[in-house]
Amino acid sequence: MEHDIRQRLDAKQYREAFELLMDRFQNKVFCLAFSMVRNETMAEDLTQDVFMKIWKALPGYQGDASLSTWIYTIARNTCLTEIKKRTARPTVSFDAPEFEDALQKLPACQTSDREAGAELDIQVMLAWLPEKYRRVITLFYLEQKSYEEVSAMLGIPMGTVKTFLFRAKQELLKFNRRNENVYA
Amino acid sequence: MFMPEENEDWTLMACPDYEARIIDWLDGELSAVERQTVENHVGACAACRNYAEELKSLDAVLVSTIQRPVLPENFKSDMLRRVDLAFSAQPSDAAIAQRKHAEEAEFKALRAELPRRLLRANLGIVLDVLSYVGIAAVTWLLLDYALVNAQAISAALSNSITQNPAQFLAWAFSAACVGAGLAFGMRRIVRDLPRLF
Repeated sequence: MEHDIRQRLDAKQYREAFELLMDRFQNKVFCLAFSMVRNETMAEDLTQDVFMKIWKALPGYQGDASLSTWIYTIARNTCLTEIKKRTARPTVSFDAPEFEDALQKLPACQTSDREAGAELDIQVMLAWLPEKYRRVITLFYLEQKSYEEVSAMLGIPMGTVKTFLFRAKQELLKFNRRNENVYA
Repeated sequence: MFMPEENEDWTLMACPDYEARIIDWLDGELSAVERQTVENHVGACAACRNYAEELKSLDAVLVSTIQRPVLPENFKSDMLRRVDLAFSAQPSDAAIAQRKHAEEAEFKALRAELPRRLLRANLGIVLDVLSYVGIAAVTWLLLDYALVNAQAISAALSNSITQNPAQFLAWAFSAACVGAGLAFGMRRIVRDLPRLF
């Protein structure tokens, strides 16, 4: 899969290699960023930052790790840096991008549409999950339920992915059961 | 909506041996033999069947809720434009070589000038020290003369005030000028000596 990109890198055709990289990884990096920051606008900005970093670092790529591992590592580190920055300044504003998605869902909440309500419930449930479980479960469903892909993107062993996914689903079920008991 | 509390004791959802296996079964991760075993168990166990149904419902909600976000169509072209701009803003190899050459020449010139600069700086320090020693010596000599000849000076001053006031004023003015000069010099010494050492 990476052979043609590596060929271009060896020939120092960085622009062509970069275009191929973008074709193959832009959506993956975007999904990874989205699973980590949970906001599309921010994930898009982070994807841009990641590819700028990749472009700058491309001539120095030694080929020790696979391209996907290298790219996902840059993406994860970029997202983690952004998350740290956001944690360092925990001011809350309704203009903040993380509220956009929630605000967009408010009309659905006001209607008596059961499905929209269920979706909002699951969003709240996902938000309640521990960060590591949420990342795994989000990426699992974004990546067509591929354990391998989630493992590669998050840089954790496949066994850990399975464990986190199992625990995440258990937590969501418990949460759901409790709500059903409350409203019953 | 209520949030489960941490470490809250929940009733078992399914048979402990089958909880994880049922998830694998629903995700299609089991071998044919294991799949058959789980299917047989789920067929016979109401709790596990209920658990599997709940998981299926949860899966359906998650599939419909967690939608793959889509990048704008022009994302790639915008990104490539940014990259091209950044690339064109980078200096060429020739410009880098020229700048390196200029910086090396500047460094050589500074290094050649260094002994002269050091000498000038040190000469300044030597002159400063000499001037401080001179001021101190003059001050010492004047004080010594004044103490030794205190009576003669006092008598001369008394005579001068009564007999020749103009001469007294001239002496007083001269003494004030010398005193001010010495005070200024001493102030410099006090201020600059710590810097020298």
